[in-house]
Amino acid sequence: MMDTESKSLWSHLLGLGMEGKHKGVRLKTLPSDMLTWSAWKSEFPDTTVLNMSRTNRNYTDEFYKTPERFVVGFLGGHGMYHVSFATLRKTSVMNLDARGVAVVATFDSDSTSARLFKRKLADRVLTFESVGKQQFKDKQTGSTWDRSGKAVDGEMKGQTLVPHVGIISFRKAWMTFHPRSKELTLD
Amino acid sequence: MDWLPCMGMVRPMTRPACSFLAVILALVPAVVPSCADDRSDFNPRRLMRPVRAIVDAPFLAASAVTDEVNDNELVMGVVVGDQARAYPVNMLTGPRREIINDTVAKAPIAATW
Repeated sequence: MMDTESKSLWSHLLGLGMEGKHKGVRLKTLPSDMLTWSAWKSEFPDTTVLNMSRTNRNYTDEFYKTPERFVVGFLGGHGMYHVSFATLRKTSVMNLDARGVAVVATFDSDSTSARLFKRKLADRVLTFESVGKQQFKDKQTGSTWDRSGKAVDGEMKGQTLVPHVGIISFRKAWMTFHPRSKELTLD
Repeated sequence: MDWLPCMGMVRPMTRPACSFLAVILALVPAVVPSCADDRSDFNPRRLMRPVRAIVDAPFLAASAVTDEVNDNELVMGVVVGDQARAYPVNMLTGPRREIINDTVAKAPIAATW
């Protein structure tokens, strides 16, 4: 992509200025979700939504029929990491340690939604396990958390996990942009 | 910031086989982390003429949606401050889309595909 003001060229996946005045400048990537409209509006009923003509009809909940083709990638310690959707489908909660960066990945197969949160809250690193489809529990305090990262019961009730930026991508594309990315598995 | 990105006219020479890269960028530059991959092979070529930047896209409240978005369609969603915004992926594909310049809760952002 190119900005109209300086005509600098940018990589949209990296958010990085590649050529021109802004070469080397990195835009901040925001935490975002990729999920069904039904699930999103259910969680955020006051949301607004882009209203333009469709350019495609393929991107529905059927899109992840071959989960091994997709990954969620993120910045960890000393570089990039990724987890396959095929791995995430086996577990709704996955505790990750990316060389000092503790992250939890949650996956909801109904809405095809993968989310990442930082496991460190204040000075404590939490370890999570699933409780049903829509909730999970941390082993340290036994508190119950919902999919938005909010503690809904227990010692931590009212606290919210901090989202960690995760980018959902075709595996091939992710590896093209991040050839040294390390895959994290359940083992 | 006083600048906004627009649709690019240049693609990487080694264009990946991907139309599926959903990213939401805050239009605020930051320091490049030391882990940034080496981009010394960046060698763009022009494939198309510039496309008008999308800066005035229309939005609907969820309560007003009828058949503009179906329940099973994938959306990219972001929350900024207390405002939630969704971008149906089926509206983002194609060389004349792919980047929506937007402002959510007074924050300038770009939803890219």
